[in-house]
Amino acid sequence: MRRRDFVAYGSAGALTAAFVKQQVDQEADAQTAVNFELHMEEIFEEMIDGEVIYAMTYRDPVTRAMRPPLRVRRKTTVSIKLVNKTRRPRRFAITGFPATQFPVVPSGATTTIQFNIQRPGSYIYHENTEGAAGRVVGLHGALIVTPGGANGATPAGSPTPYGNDALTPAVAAVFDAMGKSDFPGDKWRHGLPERERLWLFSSVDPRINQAAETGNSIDMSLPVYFFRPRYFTINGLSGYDSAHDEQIVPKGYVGEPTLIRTMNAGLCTHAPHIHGNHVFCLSDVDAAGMPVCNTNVLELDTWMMPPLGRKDILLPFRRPDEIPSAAWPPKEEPFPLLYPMHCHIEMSQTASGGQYPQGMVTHWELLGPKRGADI
Amino acid sequence: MVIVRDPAAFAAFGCALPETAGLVTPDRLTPDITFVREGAKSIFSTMPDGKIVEFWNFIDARDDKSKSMFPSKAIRVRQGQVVHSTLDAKKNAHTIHHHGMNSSTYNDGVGHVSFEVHEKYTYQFQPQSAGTYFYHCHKNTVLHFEYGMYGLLIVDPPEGPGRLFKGGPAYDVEAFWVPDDVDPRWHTLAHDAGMCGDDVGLDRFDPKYFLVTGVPAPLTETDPSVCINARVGQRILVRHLNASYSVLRTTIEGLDATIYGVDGRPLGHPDHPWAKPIFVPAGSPLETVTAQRRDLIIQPTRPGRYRVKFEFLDWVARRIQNNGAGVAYTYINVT
Repeated sequence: MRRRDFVAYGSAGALTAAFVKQQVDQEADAQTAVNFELHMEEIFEEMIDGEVIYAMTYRDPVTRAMRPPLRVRRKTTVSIKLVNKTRRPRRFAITGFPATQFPVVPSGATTTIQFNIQRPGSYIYHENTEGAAGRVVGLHGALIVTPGGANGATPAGSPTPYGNDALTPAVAAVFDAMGKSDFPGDKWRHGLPERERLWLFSSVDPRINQAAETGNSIDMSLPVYFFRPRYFTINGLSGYDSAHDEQIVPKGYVGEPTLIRTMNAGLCTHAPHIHGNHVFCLSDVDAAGMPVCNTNVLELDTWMMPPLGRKDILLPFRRPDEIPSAAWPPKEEPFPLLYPMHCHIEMSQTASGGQYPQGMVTHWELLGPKRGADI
Repeated sequence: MVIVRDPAAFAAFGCALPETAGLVTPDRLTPDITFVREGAKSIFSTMPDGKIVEFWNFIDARDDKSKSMFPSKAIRVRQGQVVHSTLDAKKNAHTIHHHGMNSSTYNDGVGHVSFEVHEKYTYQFQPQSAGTYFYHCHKNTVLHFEYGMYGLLIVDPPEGPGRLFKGGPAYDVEAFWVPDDVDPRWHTLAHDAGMCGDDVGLDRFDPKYFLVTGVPAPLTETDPSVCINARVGQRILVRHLNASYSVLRTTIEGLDATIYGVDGRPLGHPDHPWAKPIFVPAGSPLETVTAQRRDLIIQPTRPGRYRVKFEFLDWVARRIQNNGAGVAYTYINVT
């Protein structure tokens, strides 16, 4: 094992915890405007095998979180102060927005951009002055737009993360089914951080990072820059780390459905496969890159994630279907039941050419048959 | 913030996995049906260019034919049966993950969250949804799956074969399309290659051979195990599993199809009002990624020889693999 030690500094996932909580709290207020500040920085980042590589990040200067998820209510006026501490000009972009909507920020300069988003859903913010080059070396993050207040509910009153005007009957039927006979327990709820997770996939080709370190321009269309990823991440972490990160791993009891926003900031198409429960694929993106609720909601154990794709899935936290009814709840096998989620295009399960399964993998934990039940 | 990793736990995550010897299935019930699979058995297959490639499979010791089968012999059960699927790891350590079966952790067959099997272990599950699944080894999965350690797992409705699911579409002809791609370099590696820190190049997958249900192209165009023969008016059920490491684009030329099942879940079932069947017009590409299953119903209305194209696309650039050669064809012959 080449890993130099067993201490990693600056876990993005852990640092973002407080940030997410803060944003969830803000949602409760009548939010009409929100301000963020993101610094674009050149950094050195430790991979799961101990290799330290050059990378870039957006960083929140207060929490020091890298690639922080930005969470806003729809129709809120969003202001982002962008500070470019890198050596090249950078342009901020959001999936679904025109590529050149925001101005280029020269090296060393500061610019404040302002926008609002009408459509709730999952977005990726990223850098795009040289196509995907900035994005794949780390300049990316998640932008989550919530419906706010009573707007996010089905006609029958079930809470959803989408605006009423964009909700499809199929998605509404799924949220209405939660808490009923096939899905005993609770409905999905707004504002509970433990009922929502972000899985932001990416991958790293150290050769591209080395090229970026020179400060020169990178043209990803040239064969010399053909993307050959060696590391695969969820929220910036891999393998053991992504499987043990409190902000990535969903945990709950039967009947506690959890929304997982899956996004792909990388350049590979991925095939996330989840064990233990099938999931409902709630949303996708349209041709313009805007999030849309699906009109046909498929129950899947594997879903396709193309580059810049976003799919919200609902993990129902249902009793795992195939545990025999006469063996439920298990008496000889202990809780929590532990299930992986991993990309099934299995090269993504490696790190630096081997080290399976130190790649794009995490777990979810079923803590018991019912919250508060004595097993 | 500092994450402190327990070195033993870190090692156990991939390299030094727990093993089982004599572990008894927890909460064991009397089964309705049993299977035994031994693994891994080496098979040496000659590719169309004459090169011999080693595959590994699971065998059923009671069935000599299974010793040369690739993909491995299917497991076929009925919805509601308590299934015992025993792995007898004859060579090295392996597991069986019954993909799509939502079992308990011990019965899920994932080494790094439970154990690897050095001797025998019996996996227990009770399928609840008729459809198409598969089973595969989940030890060093990146390599063992590529080596071929997988087979189909079919769950029929309680009444048995003939319908995809209870109340679902009936079929007259059942067919299996399991496209796979082979990088021969990978098929020379040791069973535990790369698990403990070595760079063995598992980030580079450059397939040279393209197969459908174990048959390498271009033999797929004539092989009777891949080609479908049906009569006008008959309903064909195609159970389609992408077992490759490519983004797969499947195009049926001249025949419409309708997807009635995805990943073992029915479309158009009254208990699943959110999911409707998906119409795939003739000539429209259907894209799948690794491990996705699609159950297609095709009902030809005219006789003919209809070509089916499988294009294997690179996961980064979405270019056809092997400099454009990564394509397999087969035919649906309708009389």
